[in-house]
Amino acid sequence: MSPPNETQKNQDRFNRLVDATGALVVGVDTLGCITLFNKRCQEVTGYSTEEVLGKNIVELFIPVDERPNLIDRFQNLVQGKLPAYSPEVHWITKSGEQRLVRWNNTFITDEAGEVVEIFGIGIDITDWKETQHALEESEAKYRSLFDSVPVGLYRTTPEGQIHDVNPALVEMLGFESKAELLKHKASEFYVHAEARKQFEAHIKEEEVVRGFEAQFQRRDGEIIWIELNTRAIRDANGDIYCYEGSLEDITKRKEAEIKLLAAHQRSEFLVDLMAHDLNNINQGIMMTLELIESDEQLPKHLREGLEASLNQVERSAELIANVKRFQSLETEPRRLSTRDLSPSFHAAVRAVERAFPNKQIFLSTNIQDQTYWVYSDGFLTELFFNILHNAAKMDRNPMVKIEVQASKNTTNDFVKVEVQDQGPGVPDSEKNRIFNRYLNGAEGVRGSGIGLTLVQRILQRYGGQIWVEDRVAGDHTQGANFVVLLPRGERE
Amino acid sequence: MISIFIVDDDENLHRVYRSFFSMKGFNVVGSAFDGDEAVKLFGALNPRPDVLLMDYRMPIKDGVTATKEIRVIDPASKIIFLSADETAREQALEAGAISFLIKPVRFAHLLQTINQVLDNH
Repeated sequence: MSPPNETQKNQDRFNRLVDATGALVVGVDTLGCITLFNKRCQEVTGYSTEEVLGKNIVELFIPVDERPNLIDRFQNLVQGKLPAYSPEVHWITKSGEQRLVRWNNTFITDEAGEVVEIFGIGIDITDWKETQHALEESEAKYRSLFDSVPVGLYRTTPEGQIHDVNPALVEMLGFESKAELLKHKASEFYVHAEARKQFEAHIKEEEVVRGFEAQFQRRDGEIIWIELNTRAIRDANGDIYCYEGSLEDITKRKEAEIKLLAAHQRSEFLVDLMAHDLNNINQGIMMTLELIESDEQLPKHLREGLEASLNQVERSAELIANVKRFQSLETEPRRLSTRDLSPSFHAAVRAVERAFPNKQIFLSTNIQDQTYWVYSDGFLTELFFNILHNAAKMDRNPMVKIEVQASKNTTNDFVKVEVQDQGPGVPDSEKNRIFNRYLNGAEGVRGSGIGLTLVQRILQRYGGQIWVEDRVAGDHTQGANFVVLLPRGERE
Repeated sequence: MISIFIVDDDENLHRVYRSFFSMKGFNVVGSAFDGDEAVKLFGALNPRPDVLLMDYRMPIKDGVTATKEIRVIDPASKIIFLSADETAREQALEAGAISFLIKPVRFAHLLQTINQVLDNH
């Protein structure tokens, strides 16, 4: 084999160079027939060089709808007129997929200056174009959302210069246009400069501020309450270059909260005043009745009347106490923990015994220390006090028998406590109503107390339940069976 | 005869307490309508009363403050709180009260408490 001559060497060098490039390189003659088809072209189209050499480039690769334009441009190239732009042309691959290629063209001429071959150097920009398209779509969606949400959105520099706002914020702050608002700094809207300082300190430290409430002054001078949610945005170098977030007008909510708080404070004051002053009055009435009762000459019927009145005073005091408990149930935060049922239950038993000095209460129970653990709080004693107090109150006998049985329920997470009395019982028509005096009012429910309603509210707080059954099924006159389900504590 | 000192801002209760305690053989040695008056009158009493009945909410000086000051004058003083305000219980006991009763309370219960206080302290 003779050594390659210089022309062959140059041809080899050219071929290697053409194959090594990451670009598509294709050569065609003046009729459009392929003369060169590099490695990258093969990778992109799926065709081998042998399959395409001599074939017409337009017929092989170009989609029909793009052909007329391309043929015109090709004719220009053949005439030696290079276009000033880089055409983007689709190629159909062997598998039928369309790839978008951006081309730069050049041509080779003969000694007479006539174009004999045209070379195209192309970059497959299909993926880039798709990414760009997705980005544009995303940007358009973001902008559409930004402009249409009813919440104010903004972007500021860390120094508070406003960069961008949406129409909702323009309207919220009382401006005619976005351009007008962008002339202001964020700090100018704060009614209290201290609030802005707090916000700045927080965002610098945490980079996120959620639910920050402040008062803003609108352009027309009106003061509004706003809630800010903001986060710091970092650039590629990790430096904070802007804050972006939302701003909501919460004036109505704040006004409602302030009214609610005032109403709540007023109600607390009135309940407190009522409880204190009524019980002072009760004390005077009770002791005066007792003084009269101490007269040994008092006829029996008057003595009985006095005792009934004394009981009424005690009921009044108990009602006042329950109204206060109701209020503290509403205001005290719910902090539940695992507690031993026994101390609270037995404290309730002792309190009920004290409440009925003229009755003998015989209570039997299986509740012992460290046997039943329930998820509850300090209202547990109130809960049992009211159930037991109700049982003792409703039973007209001087000797009141109550049986209380607790059991662990293995099928779910509750401790079941059944309180059975031998009082007049609860008719079926009242069974669902006696716990809902708060909602149903007093109509149709015997007595004036709210003890059982309080019990239900406490159980709602715990996630428990209460209902009443007949102690002897089908005969409510034999007494009631109050069934309480308390969530079991973790030690169970 | 057991001597007793009554502190309450309710004039009506003063009359009822006095009638009852007189009937039961107690000697009501003094009474005050606010905490400030109570401290002043108590300081001037000689001998000291066996028991003080103390209200909590009163004008000028409340029962807890008065209790603290009376306990400074006489650390052995026996003070029973009788209040319609249950929230004062802890403060009252910390200030030196021996017992805390919630109004309304029956005389029988009050007498029992007074006797317990005198027997145990």
